[in-house]
Amino acid sequence: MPVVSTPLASTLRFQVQVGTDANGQPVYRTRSYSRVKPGAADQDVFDVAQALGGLQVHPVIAVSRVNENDLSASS
Amino acid sequence: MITKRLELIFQNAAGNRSTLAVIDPRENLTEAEVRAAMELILAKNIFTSPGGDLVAIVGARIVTREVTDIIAA
Repeated sequence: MPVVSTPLASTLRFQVQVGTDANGQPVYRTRSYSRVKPGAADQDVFDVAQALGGLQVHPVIAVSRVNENDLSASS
Repeated sequence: MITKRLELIFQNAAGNRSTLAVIDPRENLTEAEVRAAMELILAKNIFTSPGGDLVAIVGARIVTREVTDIIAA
């Protein structure tokens, strides 16, 4: 049965390195911003992540975007 | 232990306030820098809120929170 995928929600996440542990291994934390519009362009989301990352002290390691879609059977 | 966060306060389409928080803000932030980031957020318009799009800058502030343990967990 064909499925229709409808975007529901999107979250911006970036990973920062907050320091190193006793063994010298990097310690990461994730910063999340929900309420991203599902239709927002990836480039815009990335640019905002860079701007938000630039306001805080830790180096930004990775930027990701988590999308949630509703799946329903098409009639 | 002292923790800091920078709160970016916007007004949304319904006229209510909507806040984005940045944990561990840099010490040497300037008003121009924070304003530029907030204007970028408005221009890119990627966030929504219960009261609609973010439409204007209301303000920005650094909130410092100090926690002193009486009985350590």
